Amino acid sequence: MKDWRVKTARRENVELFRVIANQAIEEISSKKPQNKAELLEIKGIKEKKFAKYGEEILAIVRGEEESDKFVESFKEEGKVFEVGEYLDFLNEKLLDAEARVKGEVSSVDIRGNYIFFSIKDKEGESLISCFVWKNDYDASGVNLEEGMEVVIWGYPNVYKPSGRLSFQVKLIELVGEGLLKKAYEDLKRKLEAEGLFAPERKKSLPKYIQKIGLITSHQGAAIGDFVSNVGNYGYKINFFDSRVEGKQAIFELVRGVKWLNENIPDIDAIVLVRGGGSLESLQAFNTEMLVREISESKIPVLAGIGHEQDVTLAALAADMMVSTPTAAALEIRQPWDEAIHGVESSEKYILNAFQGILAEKKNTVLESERILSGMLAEIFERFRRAKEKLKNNLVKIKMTIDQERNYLASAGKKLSMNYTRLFSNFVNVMKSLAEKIALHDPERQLKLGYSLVFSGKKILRSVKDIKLKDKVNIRLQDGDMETEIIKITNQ
Amino acid sequence: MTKETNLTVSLKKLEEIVEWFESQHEVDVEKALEKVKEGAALIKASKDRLKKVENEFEEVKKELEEGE
Repeated sequence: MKDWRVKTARRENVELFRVIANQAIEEISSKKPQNKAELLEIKGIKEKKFAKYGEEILAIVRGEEESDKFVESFKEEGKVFEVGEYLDFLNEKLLDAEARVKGEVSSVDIRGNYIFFSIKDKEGESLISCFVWKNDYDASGVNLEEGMEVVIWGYPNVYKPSGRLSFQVKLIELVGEGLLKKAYEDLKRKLEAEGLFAPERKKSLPKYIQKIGLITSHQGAAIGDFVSNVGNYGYKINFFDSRVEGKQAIFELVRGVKWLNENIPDIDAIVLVRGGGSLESLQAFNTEMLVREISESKIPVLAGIGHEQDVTLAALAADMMVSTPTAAALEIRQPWDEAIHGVESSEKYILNAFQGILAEKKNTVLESERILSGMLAEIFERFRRAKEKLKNNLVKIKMTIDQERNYLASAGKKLSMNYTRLFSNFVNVMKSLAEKIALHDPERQLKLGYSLVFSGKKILRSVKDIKLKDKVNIRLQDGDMETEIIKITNQ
Repeated sequence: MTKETNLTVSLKKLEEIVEWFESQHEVDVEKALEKVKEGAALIKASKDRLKKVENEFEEVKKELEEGE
């Protein structure tokens, strides 16, 4: 059954699962459907598939190994084929001759949606004519030039109308780091010029990524590195298993990006990861097809593709790139870890701040209380001091009064003593004065025959104070007389 | 998605509360208490959201065959 699928896939040039899914194959082999109705019950088989493969599958289930029967039929002795019939048989057989062939490109003929070319050995004359569909050619990301050394993957096939045998190429790879490097640089320049790597094209990833579309291989370290480092924050990881190296990788990676965009458009980010490798092993990530798919993705793409020298073009086209699958995981995890720390520190801060506020308020109350009681104490103190002062002053006043009283008492005594002495002195002085006065009394002089001459009220003592014809009074002992000056004689 | 939005909003609000406390000089205790209550609710919600939760891991390729 699986062989049949492989052959059918090759014949139709599609992926295995496009023919029929693994799950369906398992279901068919366990349930062994015998007719159309039973076969249609198998998940993944619908009318369309039945029309295409129904009879073949039923034949296989019945144990009639269709293809073998087909091949067996040619072994009949004496069998004569028709041309087309024989070529079908031959092409079926030729699928088994799938191979990788290395050679130097000797001619290239690009015609619309397919290309003819041929490769030959560097030495010797062997040559293979090749045929490749344009989409396979584009996927390879190799621009064929004469003289280029390549490895082609595919199988031989006879083109029935012409009867010519050619090699049906599914993938072309460059040989040698030098050529790979050149192809890488050329493609990089071309896509850069188109602006596919421009920062303004890049979408920002949500801060807290939760729904993840993971594209990588289920083999290899990348998936483990990513899953074990991304943390446990309840992510929903939709894993798209894709080869990450070799022939099928390009198609699968491209389909992964496309499929996630079409089927789970609400995922937060597509994570494309792969461990490091040589330029050759990372070829799939340096193809135009993948770069374009990534740059067209509606979902932001985070690339964690390891590399030894040059950053892969897929990573350059991604919205964000880091250098390893682990780094991609940490990129997603970090905001969550930080959020936890943020919450915890906010919690501490808020509680501390609130306690601080309470403590401050408590302090304010205590402080007010302290100030108030201090003020009261001061009031009492002042009052006490005022009382003290008053008391002191009262004592002083009393002392002063007593002093004054004593003073007055003693002063009275002194005074009367002094007064007595003063008075007797006074009496004596008066007595002697009276005697002196009596001695010098002008009246007494008048009695003795002296007289006083007045000019007006003034006593005349000199002839200079008088002139002729002035009238003067002369006082004698017993009366006054008025005379006129008639002669003045100076002595 | 809603959970994520809530977390973003919660953290933003929490940050605002912290800033509120930082900017207060004369604090109204009643208001501060209100903020603390609000903060506590946000912290609880955020912590619940940030608890270790097992991731769901699902391979999608199996669903592919219907994609035609």
